[in-house]
Amino acid sequence: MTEAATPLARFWGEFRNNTVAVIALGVVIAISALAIAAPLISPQNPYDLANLVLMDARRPPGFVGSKGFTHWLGTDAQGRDLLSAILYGLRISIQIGLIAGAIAFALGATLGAFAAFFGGRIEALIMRIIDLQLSFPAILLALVLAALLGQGKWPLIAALVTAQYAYFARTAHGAASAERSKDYVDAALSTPLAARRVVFRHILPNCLPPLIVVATVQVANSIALEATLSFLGLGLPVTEPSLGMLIANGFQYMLSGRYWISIYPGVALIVLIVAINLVGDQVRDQLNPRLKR
Amino acid sequence: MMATQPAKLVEVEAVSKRFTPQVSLGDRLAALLGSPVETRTVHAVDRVSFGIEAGEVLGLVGESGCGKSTLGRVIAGIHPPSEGRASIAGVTVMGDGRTPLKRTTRIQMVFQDPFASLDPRVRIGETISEGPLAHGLVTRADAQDYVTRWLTAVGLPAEAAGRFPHQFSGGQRQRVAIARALAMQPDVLVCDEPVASLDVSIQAQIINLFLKLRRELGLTMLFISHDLGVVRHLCDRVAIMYLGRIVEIGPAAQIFATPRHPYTRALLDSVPKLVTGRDELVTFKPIQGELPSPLSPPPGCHFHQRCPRAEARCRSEAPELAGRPDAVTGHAVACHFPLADEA
Amino acid sequence: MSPVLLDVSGLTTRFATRAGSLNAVEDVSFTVAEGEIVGLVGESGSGKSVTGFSILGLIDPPGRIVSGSVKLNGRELVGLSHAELRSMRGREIAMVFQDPSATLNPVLTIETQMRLAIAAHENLGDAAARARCIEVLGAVGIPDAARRIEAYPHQFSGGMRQRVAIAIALLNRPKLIICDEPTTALDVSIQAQILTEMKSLAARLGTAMIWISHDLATVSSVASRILVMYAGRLIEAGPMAQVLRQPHHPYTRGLLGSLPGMAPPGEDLVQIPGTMPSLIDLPKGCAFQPRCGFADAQCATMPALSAGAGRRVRCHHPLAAETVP
Repeated sequence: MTEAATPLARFWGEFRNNTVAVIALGVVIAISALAIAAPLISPQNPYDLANLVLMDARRPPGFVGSKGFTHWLGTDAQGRDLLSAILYGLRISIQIGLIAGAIAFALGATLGAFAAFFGGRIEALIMRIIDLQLSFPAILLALVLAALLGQGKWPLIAALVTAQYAYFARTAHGAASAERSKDYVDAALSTPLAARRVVFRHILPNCLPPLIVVATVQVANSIALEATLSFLGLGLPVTEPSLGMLIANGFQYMLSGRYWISIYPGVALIVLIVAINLVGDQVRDQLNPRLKR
Repeated sequence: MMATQPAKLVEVEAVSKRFTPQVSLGDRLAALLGSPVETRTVHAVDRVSFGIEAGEVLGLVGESGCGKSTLGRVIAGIHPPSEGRASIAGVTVMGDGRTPLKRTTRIQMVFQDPFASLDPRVRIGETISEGPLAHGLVTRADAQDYVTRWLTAVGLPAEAAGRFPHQFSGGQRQRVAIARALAMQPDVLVCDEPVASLDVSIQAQIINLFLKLRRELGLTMLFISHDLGVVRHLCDRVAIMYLGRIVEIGPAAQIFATPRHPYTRALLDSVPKLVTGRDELVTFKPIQGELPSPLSPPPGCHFHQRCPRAEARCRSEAPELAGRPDAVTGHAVACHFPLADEA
Repeated sequence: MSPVLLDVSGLTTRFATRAGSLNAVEDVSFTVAEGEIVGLVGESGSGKSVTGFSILGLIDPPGRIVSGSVKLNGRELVGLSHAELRSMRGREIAMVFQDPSATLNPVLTIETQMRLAIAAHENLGDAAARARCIEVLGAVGIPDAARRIEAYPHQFSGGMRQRVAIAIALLNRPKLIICDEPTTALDVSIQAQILTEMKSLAARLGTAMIWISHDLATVSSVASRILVMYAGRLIEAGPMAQVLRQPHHPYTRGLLGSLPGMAPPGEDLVQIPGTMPSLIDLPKGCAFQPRCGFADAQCATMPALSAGAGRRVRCHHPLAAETVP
């Protein structure tokens, strides 16, 4: 009997070797920490209308406003401090990305695993619906849903989940089909254990590696998709500006030289998404047995 | 008319198992348009009947593809039979209906590959206790002691409960798999090649474990193996399977000493024996040809193409596994021209 | 005694793993005479397959041969370049693997693959090459070879695929064939056919063989001499029948006692307790010591392999040594 390091420790030991991924992970953690701490560290509460001074609107970076502090990244059309708005916007973007990703993960993985477990007609029906859905562009699907369900946080999350659960379902189905044919599943059936227990306790935990890979990519995707919807005006209400809406708000001023209103939220969004994807790449490399030496 | 035989603990009655791959949508459309669709049905098990007495170990022997593993899985309640019925003490193992479920915990299974049959992400203790907990054989409070008891029974330390499968060697994992099956307190154990993937010295340890468990627990076993040496050592009775059918069944000593089916004879002659004589000449009498495809088994006796005794009748008429020609031993053979007792 | 064909001496092959380096093969020495069939027996992890690969120079990083020599007809093979090894392989030494798909390319016909194997070493005309292929396929028991040669590997059964792999090994009439568990994956009836054919082929062509297997019975039916390995080292060697009748090493005896035929049906087998130690963490001295009933303080030092051309044993307390002439 050999005592091995915990899987997590081994995973980190390997992850550490990729400097880029470690830096990216640091960026993701730093941005998340800033976003969580936004109410404590940002100079202004951008949601509090009493705090906004219309006179200070559309000022360039470095402008010292009437409240007496420096707007390092300038202000937008409502006189919001952009740095504060970005921090609060990140908060909303990350929150929505994570919630939508988690719900899509749970829903998709469960559907895919049960489809693979039962096989036959149930499998055919579920997988055909998912294939059909995957053949529509996610943005189109989300647009239709956002238009149908109206504005607000939960309609937006519902739209994101609908656009994304199919990816989890297909991945889970593939992995679970492979697991389904293994002897430990037959052993559970010959005990016999209930289908629910076999799927949730045995099959799904063994499908986690590919699902985690999909999850990192999909969280980044749902942040981007959320920004897109908000940019198009189908996301959150104006009172809770996410990054996408900040970009949209500044868009009309781009040509008049007031670049900062759109550019800085855009940079924040890109840095976050690129960092998550870099971490995701390394996770995929480590969890994909085909790439293992 | 004979009086009905007293029912045995395990009864397998005319069990057949066919596998038909799902017809794809494209093929179904093609069939609607009148194109002939090839249905590739595999007859893995073909109307097999036998019984196992309480306390008996029955060996099920055959080459790969003969259907012995499929038959084992049908009896253990993993696959529903296509036809026929397997029962234990009168209770049908698997219910019928659209999603057949196993109805009894009195028959459990041990698999060939202990690296595949244990969930790599579940600790040994949970692997052993989850079945008994689900079926109320033990309370959560007593589960730990219960696991220790079965680990001890298979020769593993109690600390093993907290470990994962990858921390064990093949032989130790097979002990865990045996403990898992035994913890369900079954009357019957189906063992599918339980020692085939183990090294010789470890194989001997596991065989000895089976012998010990049998003495202590009075287990009834269906022992599936391709290894005639192991079967001869462990089993009271032996059934020889060829291409989905049982061709010979009887007491182990009798089958090994005076086989009556030409296939059994040939199989015994193919087994390499340890040569210890100084100038002993090693000769095999190999069976000619290869196993026919179970997709299109030959008509009549499945063995006739490879059989030195085959005649015209063998090509058209499948021999029945004759009822009980030997009233004392129950030795039966499915052959039109069985070998005479040469002993 | 026929002249020595292969002379392996002090062969040590080391693998660097994440957990540390280990010697999969350590200080292994033996010879194979021309036309002789030698059985190399051991359990998984004993180093028997790595020995076979080392002879052929098929050790890739993280493994390497760290010391020892392998001489074929007096020519040193250790240290040859890849090109030299490639030209030697197939022509002088060939290998047959447990899984024939390691040899056969699924997208080429049997004929193409066999002709490529010939062309690697010899310039033969189309007709002559095809004739040689068909002849060899016939020799390994493939019926209707002239037609079957145009088939793809998947059109053959497992037993037939292994025959094709053997035929490819025989194509260039090598002096030595290393067979690594060639019949383990096959059914007994097919195994019996192949064992019979290989034995008669080796006798007819005068090919020497190293037959690597975990199965004592199979090895005993083809080989005339046996080498037993444990934890990377050779622990016993000698004429097959003598070793099996009267093993000197306690491990060899335990292995024999483990065979189901060795005790009356239903009685306990003589088992070896415990499991093979990890090669990374070998016990001090004799590697078998923790499982051995005869072990004492002396066994904490590594016993030497006793010298001699006939029987050799690596043990401080060889069994029944006094009865050896």
